[in-house]
Amino acid sequence: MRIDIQHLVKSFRRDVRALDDLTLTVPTGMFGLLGANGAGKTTLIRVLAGLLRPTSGRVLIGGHDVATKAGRRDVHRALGYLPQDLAVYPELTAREFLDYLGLLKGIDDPVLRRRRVGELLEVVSLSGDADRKLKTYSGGMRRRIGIAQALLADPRLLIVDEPTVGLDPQERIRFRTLLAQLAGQRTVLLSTHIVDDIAQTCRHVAVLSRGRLAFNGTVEALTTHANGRVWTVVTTGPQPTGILVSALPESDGVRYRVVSQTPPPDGQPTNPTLEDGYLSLPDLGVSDRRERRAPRSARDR
Amino acid sequence: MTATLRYELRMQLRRPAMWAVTAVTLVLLWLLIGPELPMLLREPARIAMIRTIIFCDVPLPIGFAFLIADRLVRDGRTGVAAILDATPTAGWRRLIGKYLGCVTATGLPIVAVYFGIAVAYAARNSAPQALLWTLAMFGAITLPALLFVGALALSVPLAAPPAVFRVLFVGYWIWTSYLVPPRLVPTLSQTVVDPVGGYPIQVFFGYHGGHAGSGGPSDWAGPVPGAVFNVVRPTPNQATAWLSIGILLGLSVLCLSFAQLARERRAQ
Repeated sequence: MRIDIQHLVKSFRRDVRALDDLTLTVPTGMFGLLGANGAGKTTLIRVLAGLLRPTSGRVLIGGHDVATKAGRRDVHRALGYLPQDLAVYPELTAREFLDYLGLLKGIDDPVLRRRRVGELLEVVSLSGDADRKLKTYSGGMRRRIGIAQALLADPRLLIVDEPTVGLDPQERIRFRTLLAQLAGQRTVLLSTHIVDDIAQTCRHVAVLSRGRLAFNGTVEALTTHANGRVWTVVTTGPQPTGILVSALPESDGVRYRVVSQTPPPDGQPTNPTLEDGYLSLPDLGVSDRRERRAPRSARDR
Repeated sequence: MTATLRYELRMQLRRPAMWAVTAVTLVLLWLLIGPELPMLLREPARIAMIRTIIFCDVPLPIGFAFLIADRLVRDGRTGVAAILDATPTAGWRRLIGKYLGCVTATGLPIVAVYFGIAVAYAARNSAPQALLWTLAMFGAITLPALLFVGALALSVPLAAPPAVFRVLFVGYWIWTSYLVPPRLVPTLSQTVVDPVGGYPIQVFFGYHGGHAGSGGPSDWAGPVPGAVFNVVRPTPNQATAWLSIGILLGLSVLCLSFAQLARERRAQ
């Protein structure tokens, strides 16, 4: 299910532009959306999920215009959505919550719905806790329920916003693997600021910065964007100039990894990673981000 | 709609606050009705049941409104609305389902109180007609009031915090009730928009008994000499009694429409 975004603008009060003339195409398959906090990812996701109306521009999902009521309804029939901060009804059990959402998603046949809920509880390893009230669930367990509800109606479009936040490392790996497996004939839009999640699952990635598109291409292309700009420096002196990627204490000093156009003193060139490529994008320079705050998205309000 | 109704009903019934507020309200009701109960049980069935409804119609709807006030706003506050709004079920269907589910669940203790007293009366006096009177009175007087209060409690907290709504509602409810004499204070009491149902009480059930504490017979509807708002106190008759019920139902629809509009505006 292809997503076509043309000149999308989403403004909030006082003319704050959370999305600014964004044009992007998301093909079928797994697609990553990267960006710093406040870059506009959640606003974009909420527009795609039909929860926010575009100020201007056009968004077509599988040919349906999300600005129209009929278009949104058609998109919602095909959509599985996991918001960043998943909330649940604490008075319901996990099974009841999924059953309720199954009904809202149009799974009217009770036998089919019960079977689907059971399958998904199995997928997210919550079968044993299915009849416990959700108020007794941990953050990670609730996150898994969120994943299960997103998959309920076997969606052709899956939009997940920061899905691995709150999951332990094992759960995180399990979940992103599940997403990658689901991506075959579906469109899976994974929005995150965790670069590693994109590196492990996506072939295509878009990077947002201050509501604009800073990069759109393959993961390899983003990685190679940092070619010749990544350096390691071991020093006991001050931190080298450039965008700091990591600092690892060692016996003879601190091993810094920096992204910089010019080699730092005693800097050794190193092969870039996706994270290096992301940090090397001109619109995302660390000093730039520190000096200018990105417009707040609706989610941040 | 039925899915939302079913689950809202279930969630409301499972809320500890629901039973705590109900218990407090019943204590208040007992303080109000307890001393009158022996006398009430000796009255003819029609009079006993209408007086029960009149006694109950002050404290019970206040507890009812308190319990519904946070039901709609919590979806937005907690973020559940994001998941619900991303489903193909239309927002207005979910709103109606939530409304009916909340009203049904929260109204159950009120129904239990009415019919509990009616059953006690019927058993003590061998008067099964008390149950029929209660059914008719509940349908004509209490149900329209609860539908209106439910819609008001669901929608106003979208514009004002639930705590503020609760305080304002207590003032509104007492102000419009028979506890405030229209001769002394400008009030909606005894008007066609009186949510306590003065017109059905007087027209459909022929009740002219004294207001609480007034000690003498008086009207429950219609013009009050020297009172403000007599323009909305037409002569009580069948048409104006039905009009009074219709206005409450119309106001309920208006409140729910406001709620739906407010939710749609959130997406702009």
